[in-house]
Amino acid sequence: MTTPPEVVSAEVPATPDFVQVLRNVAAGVAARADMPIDQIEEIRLAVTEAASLLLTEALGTAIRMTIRRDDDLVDVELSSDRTTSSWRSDRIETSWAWIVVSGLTDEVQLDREGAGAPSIAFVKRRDRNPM
Amino acid sequence: MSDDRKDSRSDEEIAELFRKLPDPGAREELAKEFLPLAEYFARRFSGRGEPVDDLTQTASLGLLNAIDRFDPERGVPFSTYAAATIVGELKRHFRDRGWALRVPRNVQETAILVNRTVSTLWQEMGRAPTVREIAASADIGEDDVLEALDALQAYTTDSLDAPTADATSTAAESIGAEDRSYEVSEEWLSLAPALRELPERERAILYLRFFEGRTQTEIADELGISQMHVSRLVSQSLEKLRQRASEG
Repeated sequence: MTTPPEVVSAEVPATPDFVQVLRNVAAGVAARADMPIDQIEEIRLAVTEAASLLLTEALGTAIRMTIRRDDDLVDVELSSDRTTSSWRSDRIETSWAWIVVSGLTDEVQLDREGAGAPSIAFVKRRDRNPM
Repeated sequence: MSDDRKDSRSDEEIAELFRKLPDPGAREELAKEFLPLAEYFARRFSGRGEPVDDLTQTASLGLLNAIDRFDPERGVPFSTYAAATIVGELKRHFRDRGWALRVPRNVQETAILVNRTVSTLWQEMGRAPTVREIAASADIGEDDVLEALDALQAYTTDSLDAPTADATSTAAESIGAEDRSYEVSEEWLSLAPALRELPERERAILYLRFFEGRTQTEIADELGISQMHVSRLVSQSLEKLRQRASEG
């Protein structure tokens, strides 16, 4: 069974207070994708860490999150609205937050679009974990 | 009303008390006699977000109204009349609060229900349930499940983890006694210096999760604690690290 992909996006002010909103949106989409709750929680955590990297390193005024839900995965991209920044990939990729995001997800990518805006994208595949 | 209770009054005695009304002593005797009926209905209406004490008070008020308004000439047993009055009072109580009678449970109650449902499903299925599965099993909405799961993450682990039989340590704490030491490389610790300050158990879990790439379920099995507990500890320790990082 396949369902057409769904895309949900949200943009929030780049302040720690709004990270919770992004977490909840991501969790809601993951629940719709029928992810088991342990994976939903890991998506929440990954969003939190990715957002905190953008907050501390990209220094924009807004964070945009786009989630594509496909049949057996969610693809989450968080990006800053700041096009020129102190965003340094070497520093990002050795950071603790980056390791956490990598550890919690199946694929992670820095600045996927190469569009100039700092971004962190990750894919989490649904684990059916059949017993 | 049950007439078989040892100390309950006979129908004749009850009728006599009603004849004495509005004598305050008789009224009080009747209220005492039928209090179990009020308590019974208060319990029937509990679990909808109102404290049982409030409901008992409301039901008792309904009982007093019933005593004052009861007309023995009508031939209806007092217990029947009182039951209708008490239920009416309880319904009004909920309506006055702007709640439909079938109110959604409050978040805390839902969280407890969800927590219990998750454990049950997890055991039955041998994997983490989905939100849909939990919602169907607990007969609540998927949004309520999500909200409850979020609330559960925020709880301190102590409040939800049952102590082990000797009540002095939980299964989770006893892992410290295990011989396996989680040798943590300097390189790993340098990624987040605050790791050093975490309790050993939390550091061990983060190490297994992010250094050895183990799943939460595998970690739960290894440490002999629930996956929900692992999940909470991961969230909790990541939160501590993040706070420490933002402090500079």
